Amino acid sequence: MIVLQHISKWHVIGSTRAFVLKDINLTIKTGEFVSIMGPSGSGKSTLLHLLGNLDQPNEGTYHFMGEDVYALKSNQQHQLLRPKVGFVFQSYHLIDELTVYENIEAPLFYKKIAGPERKAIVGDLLDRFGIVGKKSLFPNQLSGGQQQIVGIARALAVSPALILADEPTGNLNSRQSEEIMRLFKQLNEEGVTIAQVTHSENNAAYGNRIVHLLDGQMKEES
Amino acid sequence: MMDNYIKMAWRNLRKERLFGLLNISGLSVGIMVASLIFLWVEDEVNYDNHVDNKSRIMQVQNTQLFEGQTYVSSSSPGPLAPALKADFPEIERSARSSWLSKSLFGLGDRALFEYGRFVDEDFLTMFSLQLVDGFAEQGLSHPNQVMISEAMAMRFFNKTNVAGSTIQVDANTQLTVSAVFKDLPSNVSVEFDWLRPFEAYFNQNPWLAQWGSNAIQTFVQVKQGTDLAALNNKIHGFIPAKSGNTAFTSKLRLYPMERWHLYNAFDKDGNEIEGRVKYVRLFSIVAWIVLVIACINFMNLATARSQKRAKEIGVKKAVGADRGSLIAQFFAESTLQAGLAGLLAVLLSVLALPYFNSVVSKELSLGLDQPSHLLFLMGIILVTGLLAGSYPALYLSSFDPVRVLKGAAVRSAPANFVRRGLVILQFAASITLVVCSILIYMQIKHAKSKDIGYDRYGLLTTVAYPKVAERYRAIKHQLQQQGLVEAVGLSDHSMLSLGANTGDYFWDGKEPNQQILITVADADGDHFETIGLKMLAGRTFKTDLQADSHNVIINKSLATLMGVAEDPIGKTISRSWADFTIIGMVDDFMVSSVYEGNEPALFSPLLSDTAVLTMRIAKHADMATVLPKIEDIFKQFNPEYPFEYRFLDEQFDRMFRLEALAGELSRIFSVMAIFISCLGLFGLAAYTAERRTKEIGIRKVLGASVMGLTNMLTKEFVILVGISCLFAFPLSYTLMENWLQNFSYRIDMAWWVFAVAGLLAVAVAIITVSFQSIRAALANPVHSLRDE
Repeated sequence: MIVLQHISKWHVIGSTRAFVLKDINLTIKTGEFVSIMGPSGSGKSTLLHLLGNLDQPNEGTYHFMGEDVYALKSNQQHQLLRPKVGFVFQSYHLIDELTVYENIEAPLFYKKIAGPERKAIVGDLLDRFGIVGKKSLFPNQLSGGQQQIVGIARALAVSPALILADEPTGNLNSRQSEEIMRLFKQLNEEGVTIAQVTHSENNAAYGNRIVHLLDGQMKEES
Repeated sequence: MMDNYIKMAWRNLRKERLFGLLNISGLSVGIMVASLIFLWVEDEVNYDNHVDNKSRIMQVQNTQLFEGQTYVSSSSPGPLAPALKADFPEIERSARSSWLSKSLFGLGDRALFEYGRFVDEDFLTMFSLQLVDGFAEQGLSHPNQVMISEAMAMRFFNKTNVAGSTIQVDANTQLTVSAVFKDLPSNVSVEFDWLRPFEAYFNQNPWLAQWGSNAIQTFVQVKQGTDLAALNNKIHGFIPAKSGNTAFTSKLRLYPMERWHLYNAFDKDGNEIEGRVKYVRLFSIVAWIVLVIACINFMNLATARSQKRAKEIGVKKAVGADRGSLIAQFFAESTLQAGLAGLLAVLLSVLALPYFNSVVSKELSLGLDQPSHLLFLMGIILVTGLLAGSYPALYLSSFDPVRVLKGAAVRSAPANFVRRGLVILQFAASITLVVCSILIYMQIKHAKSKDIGYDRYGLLTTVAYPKVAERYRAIKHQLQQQGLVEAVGLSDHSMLSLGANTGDYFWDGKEPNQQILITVADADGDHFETIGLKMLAGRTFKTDLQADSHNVIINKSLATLMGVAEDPIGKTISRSWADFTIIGMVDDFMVSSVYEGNEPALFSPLLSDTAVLTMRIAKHADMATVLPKIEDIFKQFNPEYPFEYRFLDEQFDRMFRLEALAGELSRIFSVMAIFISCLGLFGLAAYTAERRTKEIGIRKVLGASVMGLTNMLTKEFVILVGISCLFAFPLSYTLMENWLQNFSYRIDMAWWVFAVAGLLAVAVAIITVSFQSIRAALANPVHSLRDE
C-alpha cells in the first residue's frame, strides 16, 4: 500500500543540513500493524506526518496505493489521501467548540457526504464505542480516555484504509491504554492498516512489525 | 453546509464573548457614525430637489465695486423682473419676491407671527408649488388674496381645506385664502409659509418702481438649452442701460439654483468660491475614514486570537478540511459579526438621531424604506464581513498543520507591523481631534469674550410695532416706574443686525472717488445709554428728535477716517442731498462681527415708524417675575400683537453657530476616535500578550514580579502612543493654523494643549492595555509553559 523511497527531510542551519529524516526506504503492506519506535528527536512523528501527507519531504518519492503522490497537484493529493487516512493524535486534538457528535462528524462534513448518511455513520460509531449518551457533550467535559476514544471514532468515520496514530496512549493511564490498543488490534484484524508511533514496548507488542528510527535513519526489526 | 458554518460561527462568538462584543460594538459605532454623516450629506446635496426645473431656475445677483472690493448681493430693483422677461427671449419666466418677512396673522382670538413673501404668479410654477386645496390660477391676482401652507392652515383653522376662508393680517386687513399648498420639505433654500401677491407689497412701497431700489429678490427661469455665460454677458450692464442712469454701477448676473445651497460664497473679487460644499466634502471624507478605520479594527480584533484558531485550523486540516471550507467558515463568522454590527448600528442610529438632529439643526430620518439606504447598509455589512474575513480566511487557512499542531507559535512579522501601524494611525487621529476640539473651544471663548464696545448682558430687544412707537413714552414710563428696567431706547435695527450701509457720505478731505462703506443706523437719544455705548464727546440726541434732524452721531473710527477724532463736534459730513452736523462721538463697537475692527458707523435720529425697542433689565432682577410683568405692559398698549422678545447676549452667541457646530462635531469625533483607537489597541495588546505567553511564563519562573512584567508589557504601547504624538502634533497644528487664519481675532496655540492631548492618549492607552498586561503577568507559568 505504501512505498517510501529515499525520503529525506532536513533543515538548513547556516550552511549545513540538519537531517530530520535521512534516506528512508519503507514499505508497508495492506493489513500490516507497524509500530515506529525510537528515541526523542529521531523523526518518528515527522515520518508519520509524511505518511499522512501533512508534511512534505525535501527528497524522495511516496507511492500510495500505486499512485505517485508528489507527482500530483495539492488538491489531487488531498483527494487521494484524505478519504483513506485517519489520524489519531497524542493530544487528541478535538475541536473544543464542537460536541462529541460534531467532532466525529467533521471529517464526513469535509468529505461532502450528505446529511442523512453522516447521521447514520456517526450513529454507528457512537454505538460501537458505547458513547451514545455523551454525544452532546463538549470535549472539556470528558476524561482523557474518553477524548481519545472520540478521536479514534473520528479517525474511523471515513472508513479509512490506513490509520496513523502518533503516541495514541501517551496521555492515558495503563488501563485506558490497554483499552485503546485492544481496539486497534481489533481494527487491524478487520483489515485496517495501522502505523503507530510509540515509546512503549507494550504497545508495540500489539502490532506485527516494528521499525526503529535513530537520528533520522531507519533500522528494522521484525 | 452554510447553516453548519453559521452554527459554528455562533458558537465561536459565544465562546469569545468579550472579544465578540468589543468587535461588534466597534464596527457598529463606525457604521452608525458614517451613516449619520451620510444622511446629513444626502440632505445637503438634495437641497431644492423638489423643484421640477431646478437646473433652469436662477436668482439675479448684482455685484458692486467699493474700494477695490467686489460685493455680491441678491437684492434687485423693483422693475427688473418684468424687464428681463420682456427683453430677453431666453428668459421664459420671471418673478419678483420680497425678502422673507414676518407678519402677524389673526383669526378669532388666535394671533401668530408667520413668515412669508410677496411674489408674482410665475413664482408658483417656478418653485413647483403643489396645492392641497384651492386653485393656482388667479390665486394671486388680487392684493387681498393669500396662499398658506398646510402647517399654517392647521395652526389657524385646524384643517387644510380652507380655500375661500378669511384671515386677518397686520391686525387690520382681511385676506382671502385662495389656496393651501403642501408643506415645503425641510431642505429648501427659499422658505415661506404664506405667499401674497407682489402687488400688495408694491402698493405699500411705491418707491420700488425706481431702478435704484435694490430691495427685493428676482428669480427667473431660462429656456431649455440656454447658454448661461452668454446670457450673463448680455445682462451684465442691463441696469445702467435700461434706467439711463450711469451712476448705477451694479452689474447683473444669473446664479443657478443648483449652486444656491452648496456654493453661493464669493471672494473679494466677486468670484465664486466654495461655500457649504467644503463641509459636505469634508464630512464625507471623515465618514469614509471612520468606516475604513472601523473595518480595519474589526479585522484587527478578529485576528488577534490567531494562536487559538491556529490549532483548530490544524486539526480541521488533518481531519480533511480543504482550504475552501476553511475560507468559507471564516467568511461566515465575520459576516455574521458584521451583520450583528449592522443591526446594532441601526439601533444606535435610531437612538442617536434626535441628538444628531439637534446638533446639525436638521430633521433627518433614517429612511430605511428607501432602497438606496438599505443597499448601503447591506453593502457595508457584506464588504466589511468579506474584508474582515479575508485576512483570517486567507492567512490562517494557509497554516502548516504540522507546525501548528505541535504548538509552534504563529508568528508573522508583516501582520505585527500592520497592527502597530494601525494603532499609531488611530491614536494619531484621536490626538489630532482632541487638540482640535480644545483649540476650537478656546477660540470660540476668546471671540465671545472680546469687548464689543457695549454691555450685551441683560438687554432685551423687541420689535416696536406701530402702536408701540405711538405709545412709547407711556410704555417707557410704566416699565421704569415698576422698576423692571433701568433704561429703554429705540433704534431702527437691533445692534446685532446693523446691515444697512452706504458709500454716499462725503467730508472735507475725502477723496472724491474713494468709496468708503459706512454703516448707518437710526436711534433715539436714550439708545446709547441703554446699551452702554460710551459717548466720548458731545451729546446724544434730544427727546424731540425732529430738532436734531440735521445732526448725526458718529463713532471713533469714522471720526478718525475723517481726521477729526480729536475734535469732532461741530464738523460737517454730507450726503448728496444735505449736510449734517456732528453733535456726538461714541466709542467704537462691534458693527458686523468680532473679527472686523475699526468699522466706521453713523447714527441719525430715529424719525420713522419702524423700530426696535431695547431695554436693560434692572440689575439682579429675577427674570421669571420680571418678564411676565413686561409682557403685561406691552399687552396693555399693544393687545393685537403677541409679545416676542430676544436676549441680545443669546443672539450674540448664535453668531458663532458654525464655529460652535465645528466644535461640537470635533468633540463627538474625538470621543468616537478614542473609542475606536482603544479597540484597536486592545486587540493589539491581546495579540501581543498571547504571543509572549511562553516568554512571560519563563520570566516569572526566573523571578520577575507581576509589577515588573506589567510595566514591561505596557511600555511598548506607550511608545506607540508616543510615536502617534509625533504624527499628530504637526498635523493638528497645521489644521488649526489653517482654520484660525480665517479669524482676525484669534488665539495663539498654547503648547500645553498638545501636551494635554498627548497625556490623555497615553493615559487611555495604559488603562486599555493594563487589563491584558496584568492578566498576562498574573498567569500561572505552569499553564503557559506546558506545550499543549
